[in-house]
Amino acid sequence: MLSPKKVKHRKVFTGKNRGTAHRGSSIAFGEYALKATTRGNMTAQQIEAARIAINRKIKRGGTVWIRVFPAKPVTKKPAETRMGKGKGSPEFWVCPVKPGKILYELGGVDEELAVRALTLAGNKLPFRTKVISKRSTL
Amino acid sequence: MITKEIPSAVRDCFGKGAMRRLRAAGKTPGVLYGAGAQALALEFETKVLFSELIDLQRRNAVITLKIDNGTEKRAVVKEIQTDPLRDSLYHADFLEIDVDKPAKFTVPVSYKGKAKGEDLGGLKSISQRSVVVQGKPLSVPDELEVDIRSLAIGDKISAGEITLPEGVTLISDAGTLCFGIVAP
Repeated sequence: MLSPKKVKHRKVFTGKNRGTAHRGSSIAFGEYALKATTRGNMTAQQIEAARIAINRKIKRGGTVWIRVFPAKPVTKKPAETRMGKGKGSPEFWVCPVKPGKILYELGGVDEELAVRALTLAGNKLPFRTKVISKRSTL
Repeated sequence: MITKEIPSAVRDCFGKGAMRRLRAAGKTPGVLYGAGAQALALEFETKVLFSELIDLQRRNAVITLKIDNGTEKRAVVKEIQTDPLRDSLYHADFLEIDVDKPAKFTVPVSYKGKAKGEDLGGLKSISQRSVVVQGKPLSVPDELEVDIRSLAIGDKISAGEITLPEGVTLISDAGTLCFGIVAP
């Protein structure tokens, strides 16, 4: 699974996820892409699950680009622990996703297969997505 | 280079609220500037502008703007602002050009065919997908095609080796490596 090799701070603030994506909102590499239409956090497990779903569908016939990276640590307190005694320990990594963010790009496959593969990937994610093609975007 | 005609009208409303009303009415604001003239605010029918711009796919094109005041201006697309979520048009910038005056353009390079070296196990290495050229806008090609069929393993193509049409000169460094077949 994806995770940073080295971080400056082990724990970070929860933060807020507001606004729309401007950077990383257009297709840069492939012909087809999966775009987030609502917001949420995409965990490293979900990124991997969606990637596997795409690769299984296209059967290594095309090229997949992953446009998200889980660089934010999420902490969790152990079960049955009283409140206080400091912040919990890092449990997993997420990528905060804003509406409009391109998540995956796909090239070298026909449109029908690309739409099927990316729809399967979108089903693995905790927010709504849509499939777009380079030809239909400016 | 591709040529297009887009009808437009002079825009006399400005500001955030007015632009939102304009977009709601099915129009897209735009601006034309350059050639030493004062910037001219324009408005376009969104459907027409969108279909023309999507047809271009951000390629170089000389656009003739037919303005409702009876004038025609030649321009190139300078910037397109879109909604990241809906992929709809926000605004378009056009830069006025003189078609008889040479200008700089970034032209995509496409590598055609399958190299001999690839059959022998070599790998394609694309270093440059575009080069900067200078020429009269109408004589600059949409795309530069490079035949790579004769390349063996270790052969390279630099920017200076790309054949350009008459009247078009290369601005990118001639020694820039564009394409090569490398040993596996």
